[in-house]
Amino acid sequence: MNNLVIGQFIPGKAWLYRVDPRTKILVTVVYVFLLIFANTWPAYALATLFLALTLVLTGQSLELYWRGIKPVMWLIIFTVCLQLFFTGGTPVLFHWQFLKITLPGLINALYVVLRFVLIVLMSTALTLTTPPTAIASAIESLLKPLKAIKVPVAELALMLSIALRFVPLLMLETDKVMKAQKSRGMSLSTGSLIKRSKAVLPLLIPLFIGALQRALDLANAMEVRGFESADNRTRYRVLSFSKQDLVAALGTGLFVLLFIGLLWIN
Amino acid sequence: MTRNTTKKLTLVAVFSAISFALMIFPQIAIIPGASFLKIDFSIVPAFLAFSWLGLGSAVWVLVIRTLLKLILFNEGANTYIGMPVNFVIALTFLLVLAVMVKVEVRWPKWLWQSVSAIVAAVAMTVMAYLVNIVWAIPLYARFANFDIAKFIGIKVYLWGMVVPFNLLEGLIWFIVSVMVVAILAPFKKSFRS
Repeated sequence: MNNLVIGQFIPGKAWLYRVDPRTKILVTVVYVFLLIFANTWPAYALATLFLALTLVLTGQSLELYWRGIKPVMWLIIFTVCLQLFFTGGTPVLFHWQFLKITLPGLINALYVVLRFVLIVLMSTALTLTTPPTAIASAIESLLKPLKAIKVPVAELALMLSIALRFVPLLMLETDKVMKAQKSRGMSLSTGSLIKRSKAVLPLLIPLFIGALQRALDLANAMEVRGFESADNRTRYRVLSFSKQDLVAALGTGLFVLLFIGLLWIN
Repeated sequence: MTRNTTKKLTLVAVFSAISFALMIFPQIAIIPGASFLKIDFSIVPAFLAFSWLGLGSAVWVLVIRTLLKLILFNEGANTYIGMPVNFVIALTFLLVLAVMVKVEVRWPKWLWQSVSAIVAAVAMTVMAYLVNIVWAIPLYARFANFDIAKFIGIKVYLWGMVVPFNLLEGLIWFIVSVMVVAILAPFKKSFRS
């Protein structure tokens, strides 16, 4: 967990850092949504190309992205095994006892791996190049229409931005407490269900106590700095669209058209 | 904005962050042969928010936890299909508990709590059953190449996995959450001043 890239922002000066977070969120959503419909090799090739270009524009090393993939590796392997061994069809490539690998199964498995990797990497590119506060501000801005139906968007954005700031810290703390409890003999994988559920308590309690103290400290710090209402907050960094956003929007638009074209041809 | 509201805001935010961390780690598999059905304890912070701050705050914890998952740990189709299921099930669990605690009975507290836990677990199981039929199973087959009818069979999946898993999950959630709330009760005072 020490190597976890989830939610981490790494400061940088590459091109993607200068793109407005709202644009980055919208591009990510569009990309992930389109990938759900990908079912041909050319479509995946195009999506891979788009992602590769995005990763280059982040200016970060590939090793860092590999660390982003690692946490979901077990899920990828599990899904691949299901696809590989339980998809029917012909021709059969391998047959032993009840295990059977077919060509459609192999293709499905490769599709699943690709889809997972592409989506996780795109999400990682977003969080690596965008500070948590900017993500929260962007979400607030994108959700503004909901104010019309009395949704407290400003409060939601503030809570989200605080939560985003705490996530890496709490992940590290969870890891630390887990290691400490494991060294004392805690096991979540052995013993009866009741025993394993009980084993969670020594993990949860220190985590909560540390977090409660932080929440209290933060509330005090906000109060002494004169925080009054989430609605009336002003911003140090104001979001604004620039030339980079236009380029990103045009690039994504072209990708969407080509992608839909490829799906349509198929 | 009152002082208590600021504390409420920071508490909900921190509970949401813990809830997100607990979604990923640690998890316990409880149904043999269905290692993908794992209990996570992300409901515990929402339950604590419900117990300390009320149902509204607990719902915010669930909403922000879902947003964090979408932003930080998006697994594509799995997340888009799985998260609404997870959200609806957790919400059902909390809503039923909220109704149960409002009911005034003369039973001993432990007995009424046990009944509440069972009713909440049954309600979330019924919801999980329905949501799987109308949402998860068809969408997983269409968008995640995971056709449960083909791999396991819908009847086996629902009655052999979904139903026992959710019943057990509801009861374990309740027991662990009640224990956490009881242990952390002395800390509640610091958020009232």
